[in-house]
Amino acid sequence: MTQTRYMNPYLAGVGLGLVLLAAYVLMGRGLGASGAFTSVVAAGVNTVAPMHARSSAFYKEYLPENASPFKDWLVFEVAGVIVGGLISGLLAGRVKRSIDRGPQISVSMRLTFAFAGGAIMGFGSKLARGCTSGQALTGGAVLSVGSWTFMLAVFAAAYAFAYFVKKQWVGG
Amino acid sequence: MAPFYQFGFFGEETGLSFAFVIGIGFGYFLERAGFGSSTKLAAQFYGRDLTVFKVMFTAIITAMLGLFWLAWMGILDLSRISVLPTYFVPQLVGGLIFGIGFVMGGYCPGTCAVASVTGKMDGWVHLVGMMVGILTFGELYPVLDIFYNSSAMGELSLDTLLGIPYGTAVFLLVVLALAGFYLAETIERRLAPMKPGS
Amino acid sequence: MKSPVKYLAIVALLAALLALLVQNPKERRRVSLALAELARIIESEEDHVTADELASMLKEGIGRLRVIDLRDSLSYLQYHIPTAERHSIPELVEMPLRTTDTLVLYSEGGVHAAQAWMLLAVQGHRNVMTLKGGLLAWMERSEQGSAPPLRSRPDSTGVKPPARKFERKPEKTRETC
Repeated sequence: MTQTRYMNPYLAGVGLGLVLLAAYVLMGRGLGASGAFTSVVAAGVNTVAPMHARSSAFYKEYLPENASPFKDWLVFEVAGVIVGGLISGLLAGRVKRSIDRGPQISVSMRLTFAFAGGAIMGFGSKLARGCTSGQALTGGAVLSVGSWTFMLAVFAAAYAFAYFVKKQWVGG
Repeated sequence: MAPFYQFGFFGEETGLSFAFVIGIGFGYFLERAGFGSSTKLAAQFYGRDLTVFKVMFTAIITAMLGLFWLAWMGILDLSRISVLPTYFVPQLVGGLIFGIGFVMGGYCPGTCAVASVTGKMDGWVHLVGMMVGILTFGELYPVLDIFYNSSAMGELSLDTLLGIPYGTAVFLLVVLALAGFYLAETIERRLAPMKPGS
Repeated sequence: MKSPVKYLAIVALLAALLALLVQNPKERRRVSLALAELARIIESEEDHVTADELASMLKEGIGRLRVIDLRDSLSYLQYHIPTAERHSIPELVEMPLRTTDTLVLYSEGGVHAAQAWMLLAVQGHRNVMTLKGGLLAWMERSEQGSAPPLRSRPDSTGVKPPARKFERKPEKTRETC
């Protein structure tokens, strides 16, 4: 399958920025992602242990009284993200069942790291009240101090920790 | 006047369909930039491929300038746009944790969705892991509550913090970003022989 | 960098330069009712400062302390707390406020100060306090010697009043604000 080149990063960035701007202009709010997944988790907890979910100050926020937790702006947005990603992938010939990893790491190790990294990242995103789309991009555009702090912390920690997972990505 | 939803131009249901359409745009550009690939995302932190930096900061300054000028034109009512509240310490610590997870897993929440839908199994695994992480936070919340709500500074923006006008802050950030891009290009060019065709 | 990108960079730089010149587009104010947080602050009286406390803050020379008198200018010119600046409530709400300053608002009895406090609090300002009991409390403590007497010459607004004899007239019949 021939793959098209990636879009120029600056142009992609402008595209993203305009999408973010559209969200602000239309709704008065920015983008997000972690919140949508939290809704899914909250809905799951609610199904298994509704008393626990509804009495938790954390889950409660994602479980509206008389509506589905999925009837949420972010949930719809992330659903769109999935569709948009697929469209772009199909157009570029980049949809393929694969495991993205560096040249020197095994599949099982990569998947282990993916899971562990995902869990750590998920935890961090809740503590910080958002992720790179919700805090860094959205909050960054309105100059929120906490958002910029978050973004700088992410970069700093990622650079610092990169050494320890070097084998996973670039080998050696 | 904008934000249109807040002035009653359309209702919640329409808002949700806008969410979906906006999401499509979001996901489309994420994949276009190559963010459906963990190796490309992680490459940022080995100084090889600074796409993450370029895309993120271009997006931020684009939206930032857009907000400023739409407000200046009187089209956008800035007072109705929420500045995400600052909780300095939890956001700092959360950011550090997030950064570790990011370089370990290779994705953030939005990009792992894009990766998953384009067939990356590591994206799927990452997604599940992320939800486990969220669940862990939720279950630990009673203990984390106080920390989570500490150092609340309200809707604090950089210009207010520094006591400078909004426009000055925008200018400084844009100049910083542009300088960063120039630097990024220089760094990448020096490593060019090692980089596969972008 | 490719050609279209170079143009984008130039456009961005121009837009930023113009932003620097414009400084502030229309209104840039966000109001958020952090009800739980505000209720907690009010109940715990974190936002209050007593006359004695304010007096010692002035004596110690707490950096970046701004005492704001919210009464009308005539009353202000007759007497006010030392170092106080006078602002009307509409003025106060428009003023850009540094988060590093500490503001103490006062009015005759405290109601206007409390109301002005709320207007600032919903804009996110957490560095504002009110004088408990207002100017009347200050005058009472002043008579007892724990707070300095009021001044008639404005200290920090740079406004020169007409020469007037210092008069202390606590008119308790007047409506407290």
